[in-house]
Amino acid sequence: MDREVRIYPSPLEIPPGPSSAFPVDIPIGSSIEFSGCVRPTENGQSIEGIEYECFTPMALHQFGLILDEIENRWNDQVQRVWIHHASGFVSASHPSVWARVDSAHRAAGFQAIQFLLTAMKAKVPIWKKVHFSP
Amino acid sequence: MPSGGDKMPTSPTESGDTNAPYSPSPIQINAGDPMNFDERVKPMISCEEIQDRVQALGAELTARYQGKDLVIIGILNGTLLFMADLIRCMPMDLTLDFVGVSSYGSGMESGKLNWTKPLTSSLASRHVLVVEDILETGQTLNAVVNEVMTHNPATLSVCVLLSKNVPRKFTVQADYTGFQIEDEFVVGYGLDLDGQYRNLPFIGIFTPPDGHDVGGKSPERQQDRLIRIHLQFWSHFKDLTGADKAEFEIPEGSTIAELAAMVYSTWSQLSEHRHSALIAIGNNYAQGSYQLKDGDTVSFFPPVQGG
Repeated sequence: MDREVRIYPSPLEIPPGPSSAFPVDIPIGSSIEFSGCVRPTENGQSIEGIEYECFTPMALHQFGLILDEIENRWNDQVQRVWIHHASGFVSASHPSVWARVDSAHRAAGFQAIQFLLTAMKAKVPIWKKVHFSP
Repeated sequence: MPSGGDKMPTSPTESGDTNAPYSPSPIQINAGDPMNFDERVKPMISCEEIQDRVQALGAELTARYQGKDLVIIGILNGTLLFMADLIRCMPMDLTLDFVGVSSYGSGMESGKLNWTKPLTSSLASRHVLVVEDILETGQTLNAVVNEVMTHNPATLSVCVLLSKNVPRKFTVQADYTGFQIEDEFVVGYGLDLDGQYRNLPFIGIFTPPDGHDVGGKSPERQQDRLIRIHLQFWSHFKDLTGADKAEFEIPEGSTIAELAAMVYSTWSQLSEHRHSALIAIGNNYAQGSYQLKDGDTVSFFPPVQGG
């Protein structure tokens, strides 16, 4: 399974995906992309953005473990997983996390990306600090 | 008290009266001869002071435990003499057991506590008195007390011959104390240096010749090897502790759970978050039972919020 995990300051460098670049470079039938972006309000209050604090070495390692788990669970069904997460300040309405899962069939793809994001939210040591608008 | 010579305690048969009721006799061991055979040992607590205190403790313990199902557990080897004298000042029914615990000193890889002699008595519903020679960091006593508690005794109390005025690393406390002492390296009356000096009838301070360090030579005690742990605090835990990093010295072989207890008692503002806090060792989530090694980095942080 091909994989990439990156954590770096915003803006995320989202690679051109199948939505914009064809032919797809590997033999897959499904490519699912997700972008998580900063909502411009929090509890009705307008926010400027969110600051992401990352314990980077552990975060990279934990992402790696999650990808290992994906490779085990959907072995041979998922061909490629990429995930990027922003560190530091991300402005409202901009992406803080981007993920892509390429697979032979869509069922495995949807399951794997769901798993990736859920596991990330449980295990990866990154914390949010909201900056409210003045 | 009779002076000089080697006089054994009197027994009913010696005095000729086989019907005399049992009563504890004053212990006479080289009363007139301090038996200080090594000039590096400076007497601190005399034989007479020890015997007076042991008799007082014996009386206090007898008053408390008379009529109860008592088992006294001595921690080998330093309590040998204390136990022998203490129980002879307790004219009541009681049973004994011994446990052996050692922590490896320098030159050994693991500082973990090793049970050289395990508990064999049945303690359930009995009154247990744990006896230790010297209380310092509390590591040995803590381990023994925890082990005894798993046997569901009716009560558990601790009696120590010496309590050293040094910071405790564990919360265990003594209910009965022979003597409070300052932070000196003491030997005698069961306490050793590298196995020597247990046979001194008094307690003394060992002063090595100039340039020599006592540290690291006593494998059982008084030098619980300390290791250095690098602590990291993340997210709002940094605000609660006032630091993103700290260095901590703990006894070798401590577990993550034991370290966490020490961290929460050092930074009490962190303590209210203890049930939701996450702990990592290096880049992995920690198990409470993991035994720490010198140089480990341990991180404390609140629930994560990626994405």
